[in-house]
Amino acid sequence: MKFNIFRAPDGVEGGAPAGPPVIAAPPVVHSSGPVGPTKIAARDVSVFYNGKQALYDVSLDIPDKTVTALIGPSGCGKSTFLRTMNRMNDTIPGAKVIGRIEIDGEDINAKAVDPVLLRARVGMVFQKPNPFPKTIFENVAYGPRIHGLATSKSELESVVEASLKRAGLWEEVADRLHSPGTGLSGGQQQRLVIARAIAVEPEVILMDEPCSALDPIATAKIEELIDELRERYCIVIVTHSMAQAARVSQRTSFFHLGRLIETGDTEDIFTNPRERRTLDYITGRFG
Amino acid sequence: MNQHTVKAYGDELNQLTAEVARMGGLAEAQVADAVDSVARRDVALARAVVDRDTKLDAMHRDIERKAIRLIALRQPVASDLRRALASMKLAVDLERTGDLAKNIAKRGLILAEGEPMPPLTRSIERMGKLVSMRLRDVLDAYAAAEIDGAIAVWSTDDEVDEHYNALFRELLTYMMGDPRTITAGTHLLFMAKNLERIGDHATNIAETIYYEITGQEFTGERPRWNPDPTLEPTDDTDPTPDPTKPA
Amino acid sequence: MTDATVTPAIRAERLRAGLKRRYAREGRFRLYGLLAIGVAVGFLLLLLGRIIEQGHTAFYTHTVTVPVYMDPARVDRAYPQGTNFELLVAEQQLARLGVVDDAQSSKATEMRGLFSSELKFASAARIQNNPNLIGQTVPIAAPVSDDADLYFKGEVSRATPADQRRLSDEQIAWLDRMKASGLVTAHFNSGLFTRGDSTEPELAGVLGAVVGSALMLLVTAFVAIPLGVGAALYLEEFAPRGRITDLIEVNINNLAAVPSIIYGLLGLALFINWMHLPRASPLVGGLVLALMALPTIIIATRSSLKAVPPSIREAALAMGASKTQTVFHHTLPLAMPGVMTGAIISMAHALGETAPLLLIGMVSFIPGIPHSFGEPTGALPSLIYIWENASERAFHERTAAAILVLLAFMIVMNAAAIFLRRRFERRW
Repeated sequence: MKFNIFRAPDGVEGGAPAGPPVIAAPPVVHSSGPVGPTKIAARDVSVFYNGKQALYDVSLDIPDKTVTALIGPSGCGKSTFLRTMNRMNDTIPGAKVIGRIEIDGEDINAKAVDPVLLRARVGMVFQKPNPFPKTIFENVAYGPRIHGLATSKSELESVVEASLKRAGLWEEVADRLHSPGTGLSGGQQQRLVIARAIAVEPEVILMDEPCSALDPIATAKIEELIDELRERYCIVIVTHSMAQAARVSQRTSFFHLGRLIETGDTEDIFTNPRERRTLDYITGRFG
Repeated sequence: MNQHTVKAYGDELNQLTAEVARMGGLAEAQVADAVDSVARRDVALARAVVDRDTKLDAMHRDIERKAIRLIALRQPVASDLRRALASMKLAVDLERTGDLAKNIAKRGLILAEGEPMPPLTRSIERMGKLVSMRLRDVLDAYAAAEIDGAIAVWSTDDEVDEHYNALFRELLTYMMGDPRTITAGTHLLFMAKNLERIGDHATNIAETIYYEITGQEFTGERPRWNPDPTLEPTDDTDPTPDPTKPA
Repeated sequence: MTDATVTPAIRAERLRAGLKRRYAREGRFRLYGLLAIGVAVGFLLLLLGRIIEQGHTAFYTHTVTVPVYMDPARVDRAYPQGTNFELLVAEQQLARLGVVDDAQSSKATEMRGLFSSELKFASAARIQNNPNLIGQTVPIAAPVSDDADLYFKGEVSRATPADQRRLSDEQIAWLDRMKASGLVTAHFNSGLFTRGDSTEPELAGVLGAVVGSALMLLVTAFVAIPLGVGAALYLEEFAPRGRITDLIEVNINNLAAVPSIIYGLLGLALFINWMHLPRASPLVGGLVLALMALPTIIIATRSSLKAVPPSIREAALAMGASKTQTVFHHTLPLAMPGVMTGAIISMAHALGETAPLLLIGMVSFIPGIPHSFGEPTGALPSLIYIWENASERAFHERTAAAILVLLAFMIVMNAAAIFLRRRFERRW
């Protein structure tokens, strides 16, 4: 028995053309729940910018030690949703977040939660590499320093070295730790920024299109790094490159016009998505 | 060649190739055992071959799923794409080879209940050994990723045809001589046909390996041994040059 | 539109013609630009030229070295200052020149007019230091009087009728003889930079005013820069966006355009009349100038802060830095070049402001070098004003020289601003 994996999804408009009957296919493997324990749980999250709604009742479970990709066309709300997870929307005047977002079971929007501490647990990497205009050492050391995580100079040095090693940058910069971080290439800067983020030992790393400003080789290096990082951290990555989402993630969520359309295992989304809109988007049939 | 920057990608490709190689080993064993069971009238071995066929089917499905996943998620190009596609095609050929071996074993079970026919079973055995060897050679070429072995196998497809036609005539003569042997002879005929088909699959595999490694399609007329034009007409209209024939 | 009528040839022709017009327009525009720059540079050269022409003579002066016989009969050992050295020197000089004086000592009076009052102070000081000099002939060096100085510089000539001149023919003859006998030397007028103001032009210098201006600037800097930068930081980073913040912003922008004399009035009313701070002191002057400089500093700081790319702020916030940490660790250091430039430029501006100083009383004559922030002082701009209005002719050149000193100050401060900006400009 062979199964025909190329059959069209349910609900094809206009009806299938007349022809030999399609061999009865076994039931499509629907995406089951997320792999592993849930790290971040979002329930009915909506975001408003100056009264205009950007995100509509998004509910999503994000598992730990996995890479979850958020895909969708421009303006679909994926970056907005990403920023709710470290409360960066708080810094935008006129932004309002309603709904419940829990990390390890505790609501991060509760009054008792200090966003400064939250952002030590949830790190962020941005689209354009933005190292501080300080030395490489100072860049990586900044987080541990302001959060008081390293108490002596030698401790700080070992934290910096460990972070740079884990970000795959140590060999390239070990001899010039005190040269400016802005003197590195784009790919190196992005890895420096990742090292800076992991220096505070976060639990979650949020990445907002981290490779869109990089060339293919630098992108491949970052993707390999993400592969290595997911053994320690929960990673959520927003990307407008579906190919990248397919390569890098284990779970994928598709957003459209502020709504979460479909979420599931990456393999299932990219071989046989349930929703018509998802299929249209990933095959390039979108208007 | 350098490693893939994303190690998991390289690992997945290697895993796929390894699985195909494993499937090939199993298919090879199935053919050899099936022929053996016929020659020695070994019922237990024949039954074992029949039972093991489900494993081959499972491996085929698995390889196909893995290859689809690789193509969907990694977007391979060039040599990586050919590798993925080749593994799918090889899995099909090997699965069919397994089915044919199972068929031989089944027929062997039936033959074992009747009288032994040494000269004929010996011919089957000889043909079977040739086919088995060719299959092994082509799978070795796949594992080693070198085209010379593949080309060698491709060029000797006519030997199998030679054996087949000889067996065909031998069986016809036998059956025409003694009508009581028609049942057994027919089974043997089908076995011979199966072996010839296995030979063709080995040639298919050789062509696929050539494409995977060089990126070019294997053009050329498959060599066919044909002493009697009335039995199997050949088609000599393909003008593309045959890489194995001297210019 | 019918494409048939516009053949490639016609189109090419139109393009070519249009190109000629465009290049012509560009050429005219460039010409206007060059003309404008030429006019501006021309005026600048004119102005500078005039001032330099007027003032360069102030940078050298003439000193006369007179041998003075310390007549024990006239020099009082116990109280040398009481001695009438001027008359003493004049009589001795007359005697040396072989001139007989009349009963009213009019010739001595004329001779006295050739020396500055420094002579008597120098003589008294020498005797005080060393009373044993009484009875000896001591060479005393002192500047010549301003009229004599002008004569030596060629400003006074025999051609003008005697009653319109400051020096009589006889005085001029004496001067010539003194010069011929080597008593008079010309040298760089270091006194211009080491002395305070004086009613006698030959003894007047800018040091008092310079120190006064410097003290004022110190006060201005210490008051305006922290307040201005702090206010700008608050308005830009911490203040909630709303009507009140907008109102404040608009008002600050307007304050930068308020005429400086209004600040003088404000200072008079607030600091002098209400708070009773000492009049004409660097403290009050500095405070008034600080009020004037505040809007400029606030505006310059705000625009530097705005220029810091938001990606740096976002990166800092995402790292878990609090708002304050983000501002002080990242935003402000990156904005530093602009802030420093704004501060220095506004200081340079304040240095040259005259109107507010006039209103708080810095317009009177103040000799000596100031030592504290509370005593009345002068400032460079008001010194220039005073000297311009003085009657002595010799102040003419000194006014221009003082203007040059002020300009030099400005250039140095602006150059410092540019240097600092270049040095600390960072790429991000």
